[in-house]
Amino acid sequence: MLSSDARLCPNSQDVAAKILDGEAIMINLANGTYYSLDKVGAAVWELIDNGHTVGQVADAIAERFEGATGHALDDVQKLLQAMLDEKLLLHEDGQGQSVPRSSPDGPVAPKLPYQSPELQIYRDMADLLALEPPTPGAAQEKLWGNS
Amino acid sequence: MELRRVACVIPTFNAAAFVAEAIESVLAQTYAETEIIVVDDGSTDLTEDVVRSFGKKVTYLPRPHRGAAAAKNDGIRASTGELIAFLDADDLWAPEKLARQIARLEQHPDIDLLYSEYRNFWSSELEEEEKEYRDHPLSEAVSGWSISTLLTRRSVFERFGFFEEHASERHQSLMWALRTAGNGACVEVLPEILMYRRLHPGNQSRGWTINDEFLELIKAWKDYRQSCEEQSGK
Repeated sequence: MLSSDARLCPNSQDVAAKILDGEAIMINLANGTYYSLDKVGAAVWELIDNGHTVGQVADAIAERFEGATGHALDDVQKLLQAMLDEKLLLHEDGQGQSVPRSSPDGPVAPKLPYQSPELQIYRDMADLLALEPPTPGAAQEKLWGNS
Repeated sequence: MELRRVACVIPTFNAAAFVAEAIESVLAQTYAETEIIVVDDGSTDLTEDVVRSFGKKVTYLPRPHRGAAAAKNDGIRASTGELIAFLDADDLWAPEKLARQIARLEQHPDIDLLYSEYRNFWSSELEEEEKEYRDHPLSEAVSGWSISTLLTRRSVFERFGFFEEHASERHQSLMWALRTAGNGACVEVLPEILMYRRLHPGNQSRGWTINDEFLELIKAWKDYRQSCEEQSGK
């Protein structure tokens, strides 16, 4: 189980990610597997990307989502472990204590209902590439063995 | 059988070197009831001279540069054909392309989006690459949802919407198709080579990168797969 003090970071070498309409979409460039995280999960991803520890992420989730207290730490630990297993995240080896980046102060938003976050994993990139086959010579052709 | 008019929309941007051949491949169609609309998306080369040399056979629509999605939408709106097809300015149609697809739509009026297979061909500057790909699957029939093979009905745009003009330039055609299919449109790919895709150094699609635009496409694909699962679960 990840400790509350653990700090993780996105595997920026192999993973591209973006939040779209409140959903985090990530892709592992090494193997074409892609992932999605909805609402709570997307918030976890953003908080990790901004440098928060596991414990800080759980506290922020409990604050943002109605009904999260009592579940947040356990669920966050499980989610982050799943992302480590998929190599979406890495342990941060930074020296000393880095200061997490926070969002600018704004109006307090009403709490959203909490739902245990789940990492959705998709291994059907080949089916998408079949709709738009790579151009000869494109890097993707070799990357995902579509030739 | 009453012939149905096909609007052939050719969006173009600085493709003066290729667009004449594209237009000629439409004029060479065995299915004759066509209208050709070239939407010039702000070209700065000799595109206008090339297109106007075809006279009344081609409608030339110059526009300020706004991207391929907007150009296609303008072409759809300017056309009158019941059926609509698209051809990138650097690609070519086989002479029987429209006839074969229309025959298929006549047999299966439930099909909304009809694509076909295509074959890549290399421009002379890429002679070495062409040799490298001899006997390679990408030199044979390629199947996919390629915009230059699409034949659809005007009513599809009325039902499902037009191309999204703020979407990724690189992926907007496929994202439109995924959204449309995800909302219930019936898609088929005719297993016949009816289009030839020109590979040349200027291809937009030659070196697409994994970036924000691609992640938008991933989301569209994921949402499409989810819709398909929900529809099949009904």
